[in-house]
Amino acid sequence: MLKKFIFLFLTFCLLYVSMMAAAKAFWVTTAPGRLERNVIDKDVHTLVIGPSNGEHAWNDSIIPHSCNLCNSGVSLGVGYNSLKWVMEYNDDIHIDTVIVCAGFASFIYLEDKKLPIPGASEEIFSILDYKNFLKFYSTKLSFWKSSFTSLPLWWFSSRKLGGGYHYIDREKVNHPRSYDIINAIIKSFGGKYGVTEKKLYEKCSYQISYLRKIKEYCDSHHMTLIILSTPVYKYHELLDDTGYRQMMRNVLGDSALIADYSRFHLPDLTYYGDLEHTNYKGARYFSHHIAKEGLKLQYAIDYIK
Amino acid sequence: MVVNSINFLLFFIVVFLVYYMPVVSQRKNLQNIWILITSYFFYGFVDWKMLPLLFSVTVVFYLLGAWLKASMNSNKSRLASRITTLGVVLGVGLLLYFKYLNFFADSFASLLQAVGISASWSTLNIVLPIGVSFFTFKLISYVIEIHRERIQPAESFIEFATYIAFFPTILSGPIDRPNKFLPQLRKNHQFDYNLAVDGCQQILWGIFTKMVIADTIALITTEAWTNFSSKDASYLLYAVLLSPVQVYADFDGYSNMAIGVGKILGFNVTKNFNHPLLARNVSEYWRRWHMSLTSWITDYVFMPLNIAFRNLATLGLFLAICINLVVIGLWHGANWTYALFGFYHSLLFIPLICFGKFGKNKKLKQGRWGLPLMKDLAMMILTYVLVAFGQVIFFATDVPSISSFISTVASGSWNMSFLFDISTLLPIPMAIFLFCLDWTSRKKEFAIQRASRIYTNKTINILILDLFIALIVAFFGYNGQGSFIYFNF
Repeated sequence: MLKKFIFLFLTFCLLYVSMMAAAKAFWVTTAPGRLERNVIDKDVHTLVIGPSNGEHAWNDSIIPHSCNLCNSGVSLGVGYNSLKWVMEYNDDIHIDTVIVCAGFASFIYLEDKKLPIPGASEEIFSILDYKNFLKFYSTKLSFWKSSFTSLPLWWFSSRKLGGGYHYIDREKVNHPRSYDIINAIIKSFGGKYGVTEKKLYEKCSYQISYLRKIKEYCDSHHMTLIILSTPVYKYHELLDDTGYRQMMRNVLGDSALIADYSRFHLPDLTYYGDLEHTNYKGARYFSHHIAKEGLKLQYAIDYIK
Repeated sequence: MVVNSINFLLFFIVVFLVYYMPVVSQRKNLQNIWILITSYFFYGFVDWKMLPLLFSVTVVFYLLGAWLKASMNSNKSRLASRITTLGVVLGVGLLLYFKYLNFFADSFASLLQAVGISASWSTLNIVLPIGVSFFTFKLISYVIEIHRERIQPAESFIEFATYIAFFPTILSGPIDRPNKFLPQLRKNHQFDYNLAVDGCQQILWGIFTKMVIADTIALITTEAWTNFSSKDASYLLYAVLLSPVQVYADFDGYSNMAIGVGKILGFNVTKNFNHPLLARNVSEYWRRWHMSLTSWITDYVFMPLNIAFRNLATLGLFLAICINLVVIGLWHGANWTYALFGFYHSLLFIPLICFGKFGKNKKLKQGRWGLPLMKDLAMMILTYVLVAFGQVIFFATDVPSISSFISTVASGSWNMSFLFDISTLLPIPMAIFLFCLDWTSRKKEFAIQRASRIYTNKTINILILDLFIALIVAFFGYNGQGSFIYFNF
């Protein structure tokens, strides 16, 4: 009986350690785990934050002095805290530019729904401790609304398991589901083709509040904030983004810098992952273009024209 | 070295392997010596400076026990009474010196100053030995029980010293009584598979309640007790209502771990809690709460007082209860808040005494769909709320802060927005979960004990359940952040 007990105890320990190791391996290989290991190189001067649009478009191995911290499926709240965490963790770096990949897709109602519950405070995001994988999971699981959508996304955007933005080679531009999403967005904003600024404010208050926080953070740290819209396929033929443009100007001010590449032409459909995202090939093409030409910027006051 | 730590796990693996080695397990003396060595190591690991104190009081009380028995054998009853009194005075004196000397001296000086007599007292720097409240009670009960002829003195010093220093219970109880524990040291313990598996599950359950439930709620309550002046009234009230669950999960968690460790070594350690959330009045609550302490105080304080005050009828009963509860309160520490805590609870007994309900509790009955009867449920909630308000006194740093806390609640703003934060909201389902588990497992020692109908006793089921709980602890537990509340006492 003593042997049986010891065997049972060892089996328990073995299974427990294996499950912990698997969880840790998953975390290390997925996008959030990348942050933990991401001790930023000293020659990095540009940080890129935001959701999948940025993750799938900005190849930081091509664009010099930049580091892509974007994560598929995350809200700007997480992006804000990622930025703060990286700045606190790497106290010897000199970041002069922060690029927020916040295209129109970042302000659709689904993004706001990713926040845990109405009234969620910044404290919730701040406990997203990327240094501790156990805490990361438990906190992530407490984001019960977003867990169902973003955790699988993280899995698929993993560098080793799903490929990450460096390896995504899917081509789903003409997939019916892409158009279903557009229709869902149109429906959610009242079933009209155009999305008004008022509707955006109503539907995306938390995303907007974190955009403001990011701006405040950049201002206080003397960093230039740039809002980057990454290439999308026909998106603007399906949706009128005038309301979005007005909102960006009102939130960030007339002198905010916008880099609108949403209409950037990629050679053909094989460069797109889907309507909103570039794939690996598209990211390389886009990134080479940025590396060569630099970002073409305009003030928000001009952006709405 | 807390029980839910890797250090303790490694320590216990060594204890376990040596304890059940054929050479050791066939001789009770060797097993007792091994437990004694490891207990002293454990205590020394926590506070090595107090080892001489533990050893010397053990020697003194062992000799007192032997002297007492010898005097009883030679029919010297007056001497026996004096030796018992000496034992009680020494035990209480030990507590008074280490725990209450500064408190009483300060209080006395304040009293003198209040009547205009100048008095000064320089506070002595007395270090409180960890677990002193627990092992002193064991020492006192040892001499009293010998005098009452309920036990024979320990057969050897090793046996007695092992009883006093038994490592699973020395820091925070339960307070084992000698009549139940000493006989267990008089036999050698062969490995009992069922008892060991039961012990492991009890430890796991203890870790779960401590690290997942108690420590989660502690984030809210600690904030409320320490920064109450800056908090909204609604937040403070929320923390007050959560605090009984926190203390229960914390202390019951530790007790379960201690009992579980004892079970693996073949010992039946005294049960400390009997589902106190199911108490329908305060009398029942104290019979279900920290049972090893309350039964000790009932036997040695309440019963003699009740007999002494029997001529005063109802008033005598109230006085006995009041003193009993004030002593329980003061046992927790040298602070008037603890005395007030006991007094507050004694006031809650008044309706029970007046309506003749004291000590008359009906068995809990199951209503429709296995739920409690509505009347019982209402009484449970009422008792819970009354106990919760007592926690305000219990956790206050001093008496003035009790009134400050209450006035902050009474005059503060009511902002319920904190409830929209999921991390703040989480304790509510946890508290309900714990209450439901208490109800469904009310006939068991702890919630996941194997007699459950939910799963059979197959090894694989036990393994799956234990793994599931361990993973919840890993992901949702606050590892290493919360110390046990009762370590302070």
